[in-house]
Amino acid sequence: MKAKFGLIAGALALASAIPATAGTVSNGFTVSVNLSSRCIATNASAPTLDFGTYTAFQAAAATPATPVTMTFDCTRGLAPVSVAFDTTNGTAAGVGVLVGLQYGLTASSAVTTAGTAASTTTIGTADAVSYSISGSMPANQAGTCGAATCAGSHTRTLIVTY
Amino acid sequence: MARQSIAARVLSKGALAALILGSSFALAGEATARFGVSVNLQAETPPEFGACKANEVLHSKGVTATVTCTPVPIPKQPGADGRVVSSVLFHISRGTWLGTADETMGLGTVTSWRVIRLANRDYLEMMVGW
Repeated sequence: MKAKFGLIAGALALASAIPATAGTVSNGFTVSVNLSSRCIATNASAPTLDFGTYTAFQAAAATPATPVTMTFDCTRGLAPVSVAFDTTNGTAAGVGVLVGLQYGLTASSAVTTAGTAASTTTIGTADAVSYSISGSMPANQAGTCGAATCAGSHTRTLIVTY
Repeated sequence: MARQSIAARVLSKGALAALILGSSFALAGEATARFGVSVNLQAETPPEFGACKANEVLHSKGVTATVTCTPVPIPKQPGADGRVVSSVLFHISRGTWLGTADETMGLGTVTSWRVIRLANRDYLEMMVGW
């Protein structure tokens, strides 16, 4: 009788020592998103395109000493299709008038710096799209000024369509 | 009933068109960025020629006009004269150059007055008939 109990106890001890075998089971699901592509302006403040000093009836056209660069962050792969200027202070083509002086603006072709793709460790970066804005003020203009000198400025807007 | 059906069809077509238009507009987006444009208009040309003073003297031979100009000094450049202006009187009678003196001025003569900017030989010329 004692021997029987000893055998049973030994068997139980052996059974508890054997590890249970692990099993896996999978259940798939879908992750989806609908990305609305867009571009956003990134200039911290509005830069100024300065034509400098224009002397009435000057013989040469005036051009800004330094063009301004307007930058946009765009969804990677999204290429803007066109650019235009506001029609509040001029025409969409960029023509405007300051202190009676006509000027024309030009926007360069887009220069795109490709962003980095997102990964499991980083969210990636946007494509940086930039435009250089310059202009010209034709020669031989009288201007409008009731004093020896008049300073004029206004705000224009670059509109990028994508 | 038939009218309602036609109206319903027109309405549904209109709704479809609006939906198509709406979806096509949704494809285009705009981003805007502002910048300033500035200029400083100088209405008066800075004086390039010196101030000039004219003086007329009547005498038996006619009129003698004297123009005195005050040269404006400019920074000297290598090889350039420091003065800006110089006046030269050419006296002409019936197409013949008589000289630069003004004693021979008289009725029927023409005086050509030329103010020369010595720095670059640019000049302003006036002709006066007496």
